[in-house]
Amino acid sequence: MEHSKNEADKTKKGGLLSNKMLWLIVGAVCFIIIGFIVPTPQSMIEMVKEHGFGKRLIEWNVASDMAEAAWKLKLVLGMIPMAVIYFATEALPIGLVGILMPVFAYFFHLLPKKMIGKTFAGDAPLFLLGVLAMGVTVIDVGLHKRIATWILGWTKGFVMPILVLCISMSVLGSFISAHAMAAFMAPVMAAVYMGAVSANSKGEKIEHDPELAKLLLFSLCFALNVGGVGSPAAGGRNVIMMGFWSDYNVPMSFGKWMMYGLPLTPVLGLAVAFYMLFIFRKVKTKDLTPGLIAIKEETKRMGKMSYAEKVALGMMVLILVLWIFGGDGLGLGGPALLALVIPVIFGVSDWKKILGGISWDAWFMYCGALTLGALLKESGAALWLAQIFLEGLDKIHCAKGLGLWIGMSGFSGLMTNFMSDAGTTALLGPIAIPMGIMSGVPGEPWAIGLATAFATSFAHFLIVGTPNNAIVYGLGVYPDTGKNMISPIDFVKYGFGLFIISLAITWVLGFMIIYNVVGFPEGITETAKAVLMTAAQ
Amino acid sequence: MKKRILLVDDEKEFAETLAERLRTRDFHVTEAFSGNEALEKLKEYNFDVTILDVQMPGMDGIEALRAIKKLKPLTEVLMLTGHGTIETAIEGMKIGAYDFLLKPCEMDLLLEKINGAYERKSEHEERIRKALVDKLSTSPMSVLEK
Repeated sequence: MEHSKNEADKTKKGGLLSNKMLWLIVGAVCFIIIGFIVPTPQSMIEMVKEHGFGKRLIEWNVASDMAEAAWKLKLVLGMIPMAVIYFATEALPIGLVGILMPVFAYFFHLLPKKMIGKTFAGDAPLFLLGVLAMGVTVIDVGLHKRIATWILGWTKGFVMPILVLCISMSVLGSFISAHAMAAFMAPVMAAVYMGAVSANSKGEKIEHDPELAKLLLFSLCFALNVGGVGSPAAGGRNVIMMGFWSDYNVPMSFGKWMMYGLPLTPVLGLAVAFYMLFIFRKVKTKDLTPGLIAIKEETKRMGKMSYAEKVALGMMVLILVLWIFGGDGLGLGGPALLALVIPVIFGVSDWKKILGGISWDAWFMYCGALTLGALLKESGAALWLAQIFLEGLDKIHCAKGLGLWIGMSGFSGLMTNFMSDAGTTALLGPIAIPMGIMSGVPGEPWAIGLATAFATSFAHFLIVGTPNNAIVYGLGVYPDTGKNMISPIDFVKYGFGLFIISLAITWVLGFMIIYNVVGFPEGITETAKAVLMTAAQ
Repeated sequence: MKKRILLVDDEKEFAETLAERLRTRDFHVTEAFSGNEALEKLKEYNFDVTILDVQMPGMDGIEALRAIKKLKPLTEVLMLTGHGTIETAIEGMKIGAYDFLLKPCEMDLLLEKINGAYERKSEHEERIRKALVDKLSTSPMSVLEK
């Protein structure tokens, strides 16, 4: 009785969005309406007939005739709004939403059972497992703290610390868990702030400078966000996209991603710094040096680099080198798995700790995303959606090349502010790739895939857009009063402009310059198209 | 960052002298001369450690301690007591005070107890921070919960 009263109180306090049961039902109803009530459109039946998807599903004993094959396609489409609702409202943990994908695939017999299981056992899931394990050890031994204090400890004055903070956090965010960095750095920023304002206060009472507090916290938060474009190791969302490319037989290497993404990170970091310095140009405290003593104190407190830190650093460098230069034979999963082995062998962490620290939620979500990608591709749903979107985009002359990349990244960027970044990639990736392939532009589907994935790092304008935002908000409190330094609406106020700037930089520097300078391997569009049209051929 | 101390004692001269001695050791000290005044200050500010005299007119030390713990559960409290009020100090520790000190206290001992109280508060805060980060990492939307 008491329990249900508490639950009711919680729902009342959190508003409509926190009513998880309601959204669970809404998502299920959406699936039922699309899958079982709405009649199968003629265009779907034609799609499965013309492109051979129906024939293949019949051969696999997944459907008995073309009508049933089209219905299976419709069922797969019904899973998309359901997943969007669950990701956006957190009606279910993201890992459980991921698990729903194979569950539906098994129970509605959407794919042969061997294929469903394969999505959970490829190179890409092992890659993510290793990335997650590496994060556990790096954070456990405190290497992220050491690196952050090394980078920031020497700075003085006002502009230089902000510039160094933004550039270093964006680059670090490409390789080290941005959530962990946010969790460590937010209280450090609060300490830097207190040191700076205390030195500026005349009496015993601290004269606060809220603009400075916002400058420091938003610089940290947004710089970590934009770091996501730098490498596949930045987060599951990038790994998901790598997995989709592999499914189309056009896998991208770790180093290749870095060639497209890494040059963007310092520029985006610099843009964060300049934008923040401009927005908060009226700060009263123009010298952070007294506050930066907090970082020096932290470095002093840490003492010399420990054995565990040295092993973790060595492991990180080794894995990174193998990812970049290891060649196709090792794949991405091979080197990544060393992150599970090295810490145990060298005695810096134990097996149970690593297992306990891995975010299985993220891993299951990611594997589920690969299942959804396979479902969309094999049923013809991805191609059907891609054609519809391309027809719409053609009317505004954005159906291929730069226009398509801008449109897709804009949509992906907007979507990621409302739901999980990995969820955004999981849902948009399988549709974006066939769109790119159908556009026939050389370099696809890499170009559109990168466009979609890059923009998922720009969840600047809603507090719930990424855990980084929520963590910086939650931990960013004035130490003397306990009040929050920023408010949720501040993300809209200061983040939206930066969201547009981040996209614009990606469009100009990424799509117009880096894409042309780095170029794309010849024939990838044809290879991917062949996979997409295998059934028809 | 300086450790923030709230010194609560109705003996103004004693409080001011002790506050000054702590300030010279780089603490940020705020004084209050009654339980009520201490609570008013606590409503406005966070303190790491409160040094609380057990015997005060009006709201006594135990009453003030209960109110402080209700208002700011993370603030550690050191009870200042005379020989005649040790029982009260022990009772205070049972309801959440970190430790007690006999008046007049030696500076080194006081510093040791302040640092111990501060460490305990920091550890507690770190655990809370970790739990919050774990929660927000898996569910950013939970940041909107009251």
